[in-house]
Amino acid sequence: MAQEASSSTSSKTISLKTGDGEIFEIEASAAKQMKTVQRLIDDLGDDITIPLHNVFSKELPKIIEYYKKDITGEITKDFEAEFVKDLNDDEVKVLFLAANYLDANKLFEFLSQNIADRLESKSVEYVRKYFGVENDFTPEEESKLREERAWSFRGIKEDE
Amino acid sequence: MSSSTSQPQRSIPTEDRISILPDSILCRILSFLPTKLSATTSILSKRWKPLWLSLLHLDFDVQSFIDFNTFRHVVYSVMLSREVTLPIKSLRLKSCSEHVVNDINGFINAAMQRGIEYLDLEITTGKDFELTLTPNIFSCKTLTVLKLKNLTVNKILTQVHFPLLEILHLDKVRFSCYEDIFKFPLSSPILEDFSVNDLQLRPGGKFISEKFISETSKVKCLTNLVKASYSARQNIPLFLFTWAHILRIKLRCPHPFYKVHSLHNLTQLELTFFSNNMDNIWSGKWKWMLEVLQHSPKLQHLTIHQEIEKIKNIGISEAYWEDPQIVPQCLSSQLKTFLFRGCRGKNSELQFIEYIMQNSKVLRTMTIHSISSIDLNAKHQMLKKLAVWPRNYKLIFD
Repeated sequence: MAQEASSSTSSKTISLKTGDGEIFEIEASAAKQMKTVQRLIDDLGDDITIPLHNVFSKELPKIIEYYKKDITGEITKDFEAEFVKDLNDDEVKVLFLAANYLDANKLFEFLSQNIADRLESKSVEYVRKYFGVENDFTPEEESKLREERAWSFRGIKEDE
Repeated sequence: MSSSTSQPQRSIPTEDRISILPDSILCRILSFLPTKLSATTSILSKRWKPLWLSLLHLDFDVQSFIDFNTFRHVVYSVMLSREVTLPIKSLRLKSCSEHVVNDINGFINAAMQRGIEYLDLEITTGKDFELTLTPNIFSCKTLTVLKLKNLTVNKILTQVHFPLLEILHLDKVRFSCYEDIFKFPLSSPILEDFSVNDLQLRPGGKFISEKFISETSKVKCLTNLVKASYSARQNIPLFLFTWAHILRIKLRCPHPFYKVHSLHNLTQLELTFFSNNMDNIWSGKWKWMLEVLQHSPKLQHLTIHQEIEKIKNIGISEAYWEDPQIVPQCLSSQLKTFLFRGCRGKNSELQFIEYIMQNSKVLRTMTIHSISSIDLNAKHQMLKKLAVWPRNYKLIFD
């Protein structure tokens, strides 16, 4: 597959420490895909364990799994479908936030699409909860808006 | 930092972490939703109200609206509600063709004026080919992806230039003048993914001449091509795919002998030979197939489909087989998988398969699917013949 420009890092592994104190190893070429990690490596050196305060041991293994496949060029639609199949909406959200924190663009794009797919069939109230949005409209303001956008609400699942 | 504890201490709950994300991140998620749906987020809260209108991606499907009048009204009003200087990076339109031809071209023009990069236009209902595409599209220099389905391209009178186009998919597109199809690849210097499916020619439209093909083939084009797919009833311009790595072609048999050009990057090839009752047998088919192999030194994966309906004059004439003088280089050093679907058990077919078996030095898997209408006895005979040849790879027979 793609040839690494710096041959010295191609077989090196980097140690990552999660917010709850667990240590995981990843290939240096996978670390390159997570810009936050790469920046920390550039600042601290690649022999030091890189601390990731906002990523925890529950989600980091999944992220490592994704990028393991990415560096061998094996990410397919089937793999991606399998990857999110058993995750619930909250687990995907946690991964999404982690991908954002790590500046891991490919995973971030994929998870954005997946979240959009999941929310397509959900009610407005569910989406509010999911994004932690407080409704600051008055009931009158909200119903006026709903009327203006009636065309978009036709066919949308209503709240209970 | 905090010493390892038994419970993961997340200092901030995820809901708050999402709500403090900047608008641009939230918009990333919204951009994957059809516009009709992203519009519903306007009632989530005051902060969310304007977000959907700041999206650079628009996606409308006429079938999600109660009628085309509403659809047309909505697309116009969204275009007008958006900040007028805001670019439109991507437009996906699935429309009907009845009554809205001018409107569709109007939307495309509006998008072109706002720097459109990704355009996907599909006519899903109404009469086929009713929409004639605006010729303004041919001078849209910002396009990186162009996908068109079920519409007509009238004779192109202007210059075509797509300096940034990387992906071009033409599905069930009808051309008035067949030569115009070549204007697309010839004016897309960095094209990587080129797909033509079910190409149509307007009744009475001019076919291309051999002379035109041979003149055009002298021009170096599509040097960045990675993936290509082509299916049409007319002459297939093989010279377009010289640089392709992955190629899928559906050819109608019989065919005049296609000049085979070099396919020096080709690693994956999928060929479908298609013919129906009225066509004669293409007697030079396997000779042509070998010529293709000769020109594909890096070929690793070969798939052949035969979609041949029951032929009336069975047994009278068949394709002939002749061992080539030189073994194609790809067989000696590259070919790893070979799949043959629709095998009828004819002599020439078995001789071709045997030739591959005998000369492939690095073959790992060979899969032969016999045609579904074959009778069990003939199938059994075929399996006996195939199984007897010595091999050091996996053979799958169906």
